[in-house]
Amino acid sequence: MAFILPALNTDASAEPAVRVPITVLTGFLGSGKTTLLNRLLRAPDMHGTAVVINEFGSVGLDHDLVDHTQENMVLLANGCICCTVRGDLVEAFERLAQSPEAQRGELRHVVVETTGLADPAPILHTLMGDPRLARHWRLAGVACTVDAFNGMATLDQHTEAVKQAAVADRLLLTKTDLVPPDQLAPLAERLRAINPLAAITNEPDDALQALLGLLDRPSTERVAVQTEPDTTRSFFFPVSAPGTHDPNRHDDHIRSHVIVRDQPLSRDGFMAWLDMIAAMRGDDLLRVKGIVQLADDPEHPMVIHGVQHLFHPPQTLPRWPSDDRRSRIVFITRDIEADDIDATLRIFERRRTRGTRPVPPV
Amino acid sequence: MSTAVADPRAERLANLWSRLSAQHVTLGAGCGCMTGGVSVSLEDFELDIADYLWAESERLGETAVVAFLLQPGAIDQQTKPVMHLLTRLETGEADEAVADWLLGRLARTLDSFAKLHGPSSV
Repeated sequence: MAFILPALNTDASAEPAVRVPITVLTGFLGSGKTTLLNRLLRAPDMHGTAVVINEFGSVGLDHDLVDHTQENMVLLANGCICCTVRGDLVEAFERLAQSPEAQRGELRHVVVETTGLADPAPILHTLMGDPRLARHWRLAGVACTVDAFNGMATLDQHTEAVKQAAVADRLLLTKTDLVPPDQLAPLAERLRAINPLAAITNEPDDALQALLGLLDRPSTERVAVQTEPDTTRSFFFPVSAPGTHDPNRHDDHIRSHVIVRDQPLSRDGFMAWLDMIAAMRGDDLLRVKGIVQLADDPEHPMVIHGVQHLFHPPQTLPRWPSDDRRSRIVFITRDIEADDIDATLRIFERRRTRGTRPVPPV
Repeated sequence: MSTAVADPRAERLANLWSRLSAQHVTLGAGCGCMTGGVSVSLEDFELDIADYLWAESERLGETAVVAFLLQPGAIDQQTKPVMHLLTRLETGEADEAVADWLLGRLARTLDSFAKLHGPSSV
């Protein structure tokens, strides 16, 4: 099947005033994605919400289980998540963009429900990086449901489940009523180890609220990268600072690191380093978020956000969100040591900022 | 001046960098703007590595190291400054303290590059 795509207008002034936010809902098979999605769609004030469902198997079923009062529902064809779905996803969003609701400006949110077996990275890559989508849509966030009863075993047995948890902005524990609190704590701790950036909810209403919160999240959500424990802030879990790495956080080969720099970084050097890391180990960079002070523009922090090989174009904030002006970059990686990240950044971070060329000794 | 001695650490690093520096990586392909895709070899980062060693030695007041690094000329005027430096260290041109200072940092840097690049480089 061939598609004629609308030409992209490169004139910035022709950009739509508002790009519709997309929230990706992922989670392993049976973790409660569809149940949560139905609750979301029944919530008040959810008009203008479209649903895109990616299913697994020759006969789609999930879409039949979703509340059909929702008109804007698009079912992605089945197929290999790495190739077929990318094209289907672009096509689905182009169809949505042409829908009467979108044309009238009434489409407010889109929720993409992934198949439970999916590595969400290809979907995120498409949503973040495909130029055909960038004009109308923006990725607002990723929520991941985790079955509290089976979650530990699922994480043991399925690397896809670990990756789903690693890329999420919100981890939503489901079926918590089936599990005593003392059994819940180890799962929550393991999830924090996999993804210390994500907030974890364990009450049904909290999960719904967390998902609702993601729908309206601005794309440049403040990067709250903590380096010290701070019990007064509950939205993000603290991340161990260098030298305080928790050796217990080594399950699943997933590790989180925070790189902190007190001095501003060379823009060219930093970007070259980030490029190099992504090129060499993109498969293992599950999530990268950071706020960076650059030597050539220290008053305006640069925010970076990447999933595996793909990074959003860096954004420059109009001001620092707090008094903390250090560069702080959080990596959630698979089998990458913090020391290697740190040692290579040191090579690049001061590139061409050292003043005049030295005079060779006589 | 203390006695110059050939250093097996330098030989290991020279072999490592010889293999590693020929490896190519494609830069820019990961940006969401989809405008990248420049293939470079790690050898292209030699200037960055040598420049870092020079800056660190200056910052820490290691005048003997600075002098050794700049002996062939300004860093940005040297050809393959890292490989050349390793060759000089391998043949024992540096005294022990300078060699220790440089080889410790070079090992940390080049081993990290190798580990990031993958098992075939280690």
